[in-house]
Amino acid sequence: MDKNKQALALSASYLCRRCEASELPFADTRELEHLDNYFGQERATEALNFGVSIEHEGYNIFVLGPTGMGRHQMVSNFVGQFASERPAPTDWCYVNNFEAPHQPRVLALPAGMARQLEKDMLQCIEDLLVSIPGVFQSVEYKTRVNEINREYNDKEQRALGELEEKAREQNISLIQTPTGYTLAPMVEGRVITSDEFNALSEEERKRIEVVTSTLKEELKQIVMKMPVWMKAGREQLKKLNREIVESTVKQVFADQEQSYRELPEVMSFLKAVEQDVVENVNYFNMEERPGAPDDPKNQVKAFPMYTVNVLVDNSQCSGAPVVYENNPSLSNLLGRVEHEAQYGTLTTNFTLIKAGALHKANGGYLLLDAVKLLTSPFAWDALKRALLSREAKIESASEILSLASTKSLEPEAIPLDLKVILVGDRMIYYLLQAYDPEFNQLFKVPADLSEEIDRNAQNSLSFARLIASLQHKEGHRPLARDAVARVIEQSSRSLEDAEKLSLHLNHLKDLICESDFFAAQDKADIITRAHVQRAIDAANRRLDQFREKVHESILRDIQLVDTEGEQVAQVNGLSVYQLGEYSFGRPSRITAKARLGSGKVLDIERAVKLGGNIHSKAVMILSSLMANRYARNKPLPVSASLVFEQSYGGVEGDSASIAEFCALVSAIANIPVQQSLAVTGSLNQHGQAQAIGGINQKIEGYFDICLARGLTGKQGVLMPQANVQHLMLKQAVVDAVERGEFNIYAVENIDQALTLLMEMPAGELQTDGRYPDDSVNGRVMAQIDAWIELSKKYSAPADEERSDDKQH
Amino acid sequence: MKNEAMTSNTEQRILIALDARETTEESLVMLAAVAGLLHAPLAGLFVEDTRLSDIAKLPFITEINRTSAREQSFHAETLTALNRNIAGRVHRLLDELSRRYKVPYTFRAEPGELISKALTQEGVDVFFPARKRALLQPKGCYSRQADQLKITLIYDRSPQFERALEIVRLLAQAGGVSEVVLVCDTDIPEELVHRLPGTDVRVKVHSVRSVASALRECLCQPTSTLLLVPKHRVTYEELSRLFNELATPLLLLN
Repeated sequence: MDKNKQALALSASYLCRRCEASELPFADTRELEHLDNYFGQERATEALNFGVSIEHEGYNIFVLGPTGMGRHQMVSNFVGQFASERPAPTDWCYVNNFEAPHQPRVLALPAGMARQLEKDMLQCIEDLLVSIPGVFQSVEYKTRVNEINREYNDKEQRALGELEEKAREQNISLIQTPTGYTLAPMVEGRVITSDEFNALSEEERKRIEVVTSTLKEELKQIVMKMPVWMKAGREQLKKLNREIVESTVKQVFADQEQSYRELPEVMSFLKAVEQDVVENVNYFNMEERPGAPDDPKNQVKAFPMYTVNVLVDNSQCSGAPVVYENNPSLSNLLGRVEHEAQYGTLTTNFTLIKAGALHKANGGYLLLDAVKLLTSPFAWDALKRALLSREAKIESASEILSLASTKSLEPEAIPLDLKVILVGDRMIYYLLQAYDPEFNQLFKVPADLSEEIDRNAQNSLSFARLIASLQHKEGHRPLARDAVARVIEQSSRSLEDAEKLSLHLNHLKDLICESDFFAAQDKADIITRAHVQRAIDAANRRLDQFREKVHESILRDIQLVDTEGEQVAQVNGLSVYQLGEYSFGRPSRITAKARLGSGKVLDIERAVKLGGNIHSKAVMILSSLMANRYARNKPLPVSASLVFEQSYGGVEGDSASIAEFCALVSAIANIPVQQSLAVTGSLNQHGQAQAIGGINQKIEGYFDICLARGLTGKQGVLMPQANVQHLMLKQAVVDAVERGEFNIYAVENIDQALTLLMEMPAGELQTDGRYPDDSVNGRVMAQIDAWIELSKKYSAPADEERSDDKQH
Repeated sequence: MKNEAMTSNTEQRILIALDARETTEESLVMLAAVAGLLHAPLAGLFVEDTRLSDIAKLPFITEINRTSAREQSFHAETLTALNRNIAGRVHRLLDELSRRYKVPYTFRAEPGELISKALTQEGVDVFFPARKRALLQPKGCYSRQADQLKITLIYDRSPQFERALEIVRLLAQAGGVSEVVLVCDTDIPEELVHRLPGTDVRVKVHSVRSVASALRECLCQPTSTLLLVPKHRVTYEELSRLFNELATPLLLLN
């Protein structure tokens, strides 16, 4: 037995893979060349390189990786380098659409020119405000207006004069009345009196009436023509105004037309402005706008329709933009049309259009957090629409939901040419792939970040360089090489893998930062191993209250766990509690009961719905293993039950399979199990021990209980051989093992576990299909045979009764 | 600060010559404001045109309306009612304006012929308001405020011109003038330039060959808000001919 134990016991050297400071070829991190944060991410950087280089549609990138790896920083740095080599994209601005003001037009200008156009337009308005009123005050203009009026007057006077002359020839006078004209007969060059008229002969009176009547008709025709002449005069005046304003406006805009002659869209806008100014010239005549502000800057504000709303100004960009939108809501993504209150009414115009992240990143790269994007209402669909149509069209949630029917703007869409880089967990990526067909069409490049690298001498040195660069970047004290060694060990520990190093940069940064804090407390110039250890201990201490309470309840025998002696059908299993990022192990008592029955193993956890699927699967596997091992060619008349004692929460995982099998065997064969040992490990149907997770926490959890009760030298943990590579145990465990006070056994199969736990050989299968009688397996098989016989005895009378019935 | 000479120069009574033909209300408002600044009493004279009354008595007389070209009856009763109506309306308006600008005001209606009656009044300045006319307005002329006058002066060496100058200076001091146009057919003495208002008032000199033709132009075109002319520069015949086209308010200085 002792030989078996010795063969399976692990020496202290296997329990934690130390990083020896002496193996690191530097004194402290100041001597190290810094390393970029793409360390270990060759696969992802290759994908990123491919994604940003390929120009085809749909080759947007999804960066897969868990939170805490410094994904955004890494991607941002990578894309930033790429972007700096590309030209700055065009500026975008919105201007008034004079034909349809609710559909503002968009202008694209070379980088930096949008702001210039905005300034130029403001200057033009100022110039117009000075020059247009000046033109209307000019003598030339007034003279020309007078000429038009004179022409109109002349027409009227000439017509009336001719009629007056014609009337006079017939002794009729044309007289102006307060409201019109009248015709009266004359005598001796004056208007006839009524007495004189009455004294005239009937014939003469008749003649006067006829003549007057004819003249009246002509007079009517003249009066009817007067509005026509006036209309012609107004047309002339309008033409004059247009001519005089047109030339002034042309002069004002001459420089701008020269500056922007290469940009047809801008030229078209300038022409539209010129035309609108000419048509609405009254607005510029400040005399006609009493109450208008005197300050030219304020006067300019009265002409928003001629201004330019610079949506995206790339004047300060030295390359393509890299935009990270931290809050990818619909409006932050697509832009929005703001409103302002005027006399209690909400109004808007093109100057209130605000850019979204898509506009700002156009021509470059847009980084978005996938979860944030997917949890922002309408944002994901809007982004897909934009990428599919390759244009950014401003939409509001109220429009999408048809909540508001107020008149709003429909700004012209902006053509998009950008790469979107989503950053998210793998789960999000695979869910999107599975459930959103458009996702595959739009995000064809996955950049899968590695969470770990192999731990070897070269990578350890590179890791040290990474530590040096992070320490330098954050402005912390340098780390001595023993501190670096401790950080490397902790990196392996956090992965639960002695052969790997973690690439979770945020954890690394936090550890360096917290170590620096303790170094500062010690007024040290450099971070040492002790400071790193204090940082690790303090971090654990901050979170381990629950662990303390659980262990306390075991030590106070509230939760029953034996650490010495032996018991039938009772095994110490090991479980891990995961509390956010903190986890700890604890022993749990697993018990089994077996009796004559129908060959079923009852998983009590499953029956009361406290067991998860994986645990149920493990119980089924061990049932199968049991049947196959002990009753290959015969029935298995066993009814057994398994339970995690005092477990009030859910049980999940298969790491208790070995413990459960041993408890069952003990229950069937009535062989006591050593309570000084705890067991962890999963089993397959062939009885091989398989690796499980949380090995370090499990061992340490049991060790802590044993240590508190007093180490006897018999206590220890059985674990799968496959987990040896994951051991990164704390120093106290290693020391106890080194002193022979605690043991860790690595088993490869169930027989080794049975042998250790029951201090009896498991027994090998013999050629006759049986196990030796004095072995664990042999005693199990013997008990099964006994139950078979017993079951035959119980079933015999029934058979006899049935045969009697047949005879009758 | 006013001195005695200035007072006697500017505070002369202003006769407002009115008849049934429509005048612009703005003219009367402007005149009241000017009279208020000058402390000049106002005297409204409404003349019922006897010549038109005689014509209205003739049988078969009708009128062609200027706006609609429609033929309508032209009876004495209609004319009388029109006169009464317009006289009453103008009277009420002037009464209100005189109270607003705190100037003494009288009003009387008489039969006769407007221009001769107005020109024969002794010791008063005579104001003819602008007629309502269908004229094309140049930009920047039609919404000008009454307290920002553009005054045109006809230059000569008469004492009336001196008065006109004093009036302009007084109005300019009160901030009521934005532009002064001096129409002249001779060289202007240098000392006159210094007497014209300077700060905040645009002063323009309009040299013409003939003041008479320029005056005709000024009367028929809305070039300014007030035309100040020595009474002796305008004859009865000239005024009669232009009277119906009066586009600029005219103040004849006695």
